[in-house]
Amino acid sequence: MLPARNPPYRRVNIGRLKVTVAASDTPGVITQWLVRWREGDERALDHITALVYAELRRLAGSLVYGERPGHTLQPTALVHELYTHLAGARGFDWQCRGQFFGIASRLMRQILVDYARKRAAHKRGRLQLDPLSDKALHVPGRGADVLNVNVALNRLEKAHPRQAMVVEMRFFGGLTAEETVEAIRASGEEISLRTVERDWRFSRAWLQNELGNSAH
Amino acid sequence: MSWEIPRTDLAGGRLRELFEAASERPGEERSRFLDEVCAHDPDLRRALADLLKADEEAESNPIWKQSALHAAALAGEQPVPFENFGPYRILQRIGAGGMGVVYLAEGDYDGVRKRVAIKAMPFAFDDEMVRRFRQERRIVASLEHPNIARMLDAGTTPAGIPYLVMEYVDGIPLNRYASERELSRDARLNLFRTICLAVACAHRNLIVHRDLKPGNILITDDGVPKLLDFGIARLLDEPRRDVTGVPLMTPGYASPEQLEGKSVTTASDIYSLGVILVELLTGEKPGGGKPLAGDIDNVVSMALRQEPERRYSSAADFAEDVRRVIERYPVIARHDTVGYRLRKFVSRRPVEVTIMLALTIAAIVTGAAAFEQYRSANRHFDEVRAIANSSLFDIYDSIGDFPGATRTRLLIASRAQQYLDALAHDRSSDLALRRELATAYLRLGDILGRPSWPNLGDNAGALANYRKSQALLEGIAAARRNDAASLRDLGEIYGREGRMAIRRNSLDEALAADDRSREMLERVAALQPGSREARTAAIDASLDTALAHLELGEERVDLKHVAAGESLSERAKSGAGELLRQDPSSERFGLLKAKACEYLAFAENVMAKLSGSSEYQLRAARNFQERLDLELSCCSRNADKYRRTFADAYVEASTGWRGAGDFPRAEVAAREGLRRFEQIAAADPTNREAAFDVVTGDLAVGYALASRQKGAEAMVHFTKFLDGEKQTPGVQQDRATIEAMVEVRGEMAAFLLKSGRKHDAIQLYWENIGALQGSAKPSAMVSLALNYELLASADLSHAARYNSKASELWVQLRDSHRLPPRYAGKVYSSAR
Repeated sequence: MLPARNPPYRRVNIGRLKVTVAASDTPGVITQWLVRWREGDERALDHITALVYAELRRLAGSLVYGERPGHTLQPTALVHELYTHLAGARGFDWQCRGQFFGIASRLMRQILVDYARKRAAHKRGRLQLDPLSDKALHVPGRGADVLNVNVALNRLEKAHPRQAMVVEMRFFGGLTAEETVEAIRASGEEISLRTVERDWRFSRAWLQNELGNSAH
Repeated sequence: MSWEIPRTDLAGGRLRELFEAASERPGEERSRFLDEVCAHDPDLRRALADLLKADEEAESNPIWKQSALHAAALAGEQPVPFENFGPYRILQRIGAGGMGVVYLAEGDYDGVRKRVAIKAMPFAFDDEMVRRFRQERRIVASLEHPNIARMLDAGTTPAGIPYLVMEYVDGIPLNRYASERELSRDARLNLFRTICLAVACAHRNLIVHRDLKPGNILITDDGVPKLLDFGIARLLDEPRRDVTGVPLMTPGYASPEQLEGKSVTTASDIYSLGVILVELLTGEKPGGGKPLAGDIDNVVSMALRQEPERRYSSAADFAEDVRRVIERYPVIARHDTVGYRLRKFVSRRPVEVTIMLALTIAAIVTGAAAFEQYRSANRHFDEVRAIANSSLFDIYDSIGDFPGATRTRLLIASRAQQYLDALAHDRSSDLALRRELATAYLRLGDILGRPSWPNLGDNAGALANYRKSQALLEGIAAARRNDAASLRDLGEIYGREGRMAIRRNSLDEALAADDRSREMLERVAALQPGSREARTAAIDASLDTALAHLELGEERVDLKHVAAGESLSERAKSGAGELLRQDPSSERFGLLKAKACEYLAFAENVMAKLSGSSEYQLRAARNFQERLDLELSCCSRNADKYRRTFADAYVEASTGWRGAGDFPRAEVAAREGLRRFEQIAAADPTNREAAFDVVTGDLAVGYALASRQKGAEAMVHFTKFLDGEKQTPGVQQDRATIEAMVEVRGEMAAFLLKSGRKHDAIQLYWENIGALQGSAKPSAMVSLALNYELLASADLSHAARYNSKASELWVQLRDSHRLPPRYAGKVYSSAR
């Protein structure tokens, strides 16, 4: 006589509730945390951050090193890939999706800045610059690399916080204008697509001006 | 650049509005617009013009069309150079994981060429991690199992890229192997069982994988599974900056507690193993819908339980159940709640809990589980004993100085003692077991209050444990007259009791204990004539005895004791020198000789203090310096371990040079000592001894500064010393401390007098008199007399009364033959 079958499951605490989820249902977990965060549980953000950061860093590492032959680098590749991975076929609701994009953009910024710092340190350590990679980065106005943009963005943030947020999402998070709208709305602020586009153009000019100045 | 705040920041929102309005207008119209709105504000006009120009530049700058990721990837397009280095020749790239690139390489191991896999991880590390990594790789490298790919080496390349060298495994991932070979269910289960047993071995060595997945399990052509990356996730798992770190893991294989960012234990690996098993059998992860038949379903469910404590208590148990499935035996249905409390202990700690702590907890959990099972008669006596001993000896010893190390040691030793206690109760006639128990007590005592070691400051608890250990050992020594091991342990314990007695200021007890210790250890040395170990221990014990003599001599102003201490130290110095000559690079003998120098210097210092001879002072300074030099040269390889010793040596060298009149040198040494003590204390705030040390450093710096006429600065350090001592319970009764405090207040009073603060100075002299009055100790009486004299010279209106108090004391000292030679003149002068 065979014993009754117990499907593998996991019980997740959501507030006082216990929710049963399938054992491999990672997106379930992240959705729950996103909901908790929305409901004002500050610690939930730590959990989401932890979950997303590790994954994002891993993906970023493999992409940045071109370790995925055949993988075309789309501007939005990374955050999207992670989104698909975590959200699964069913996806998150629009609010979760927006929250997720916002968090992922912030983390992406951190990861890429970290990476750029490390790379800069590495170059300094070797006391010679790699001419090829310099060429690859060569852009009018010079100095427009991740580190410089980050520094300039910190300054933009002081005078124009919303515009800086748009840059964070579009430039670091690789979000489209529409997704940026979604992400900002999920944080509770009403914004139109038109505004995001205008903010982007202004910020871009502002940063370009900053970067041009610092190059002299 | 001529401005601090960019002009583009002017007028904030207005600037933005104007920019937007202007940017939408074509050329001609745009400049008209600007002329109009900026008619009275040339600055604003220039700012807008700059922005509009930048807007055009931005339009043609590709960076804004892509994303930061793109820019970073472009910068990284040239793969980080990874060339041959050290003994390694890079052959080809064989793969890339999340953390870096894996190369096949050939390593030259003393002429033997061996294929290895090198994992280069430029993205994974920062300097701090590299440093930690080096410290810990030893533990991971110790893992040796035929089914675990060995970690061979780790470090950073000359170009600064962190790397790991692993045994190269030529195989294919588990699931692919199983499907390509069309393995039967039982063949798959057998393969899995082997994997389980390998994981169990790692767990016994306290290494948790944390990222077990089919891709990390390669099967060679011969069907041998090899687990990759063991212990690496643990090394890489580092919370960084403001981001809550989460262990590296692969969603889908990670346990619920990992996903929730809680602490990871061996049970997390068991969960991952459960997922791997389901996938191996069904081709899908759990919840994929494919049913499992029969007992294997129960087995899997148990591995996949939500609560770590309800899963299999070990990977070995998991393997055992898999075997039962293969052989169609009923599986074990156990409801164990083992180690729950301990896991709670872990989960209350933040994620960044030190790796060592996590390891330790794993050990304790293993131990607790084993013990629980011993109670329910499921485990062998010997096995539990082995676990208790392994935590007591191996793990205990491998704990370095990390914050909170002392508490962790306590946890381990008390657990082990608890297990051994119960075991000894079951087999009271087992001598060896009683010895192990004696060791557990000894170690517990050490953690609670081993003098001059990191401890928890519980002296009474320490002594109680030492006594228990001592009683057990004396029983054993009585049963086996010449059991060197027991004699040695007894000698050690007497030695520690001696140190503690010194702390309690019971000098007679200390001398008695030290003498017994010396006696035991000299017996051991005689039993083992060729053993340098035994010689070393005996020399050590003579030095402790010398110290007790010196303390007694100083307190009682008894030159006989001082002389005894001096000659014991002198003999020890030559004995240690002999050992060092035979083995000049030995750290141990270097340290031993250094200690002898220190004690000899101490004896000479006391001699100088009592006789006033500058000859002794110079000899003391030279011996203190010789100690410092010996330690610095012998211990340079393990500088980290001897941090306290070095700091102490600097402080004492400072004392020596100050006595000998070389004040600049004294100041340098004292400052160096203080700095080092402060570093140590900052690293482990629970360590009381370290806080005590810092104060000693302040004392030395204060004196050095005072002797260099930097009185005001010295006052700061003296005050710190006095405050620190007042906050250290128990030391106020210590003679040496009282005297040190009296001397410091004397120095401070002298400075105050010089700066015209007579009133404050008199206050300090009275404090000294209050501290010394009523003591029958000759050294205290000498000090009291001197303080009365100083008070007399500060407070001239009552000078006559204070001077007569002083002369009474001098006469009393002379009559009891305790008047130090250097004050011999006092009696005549006051008698007149």
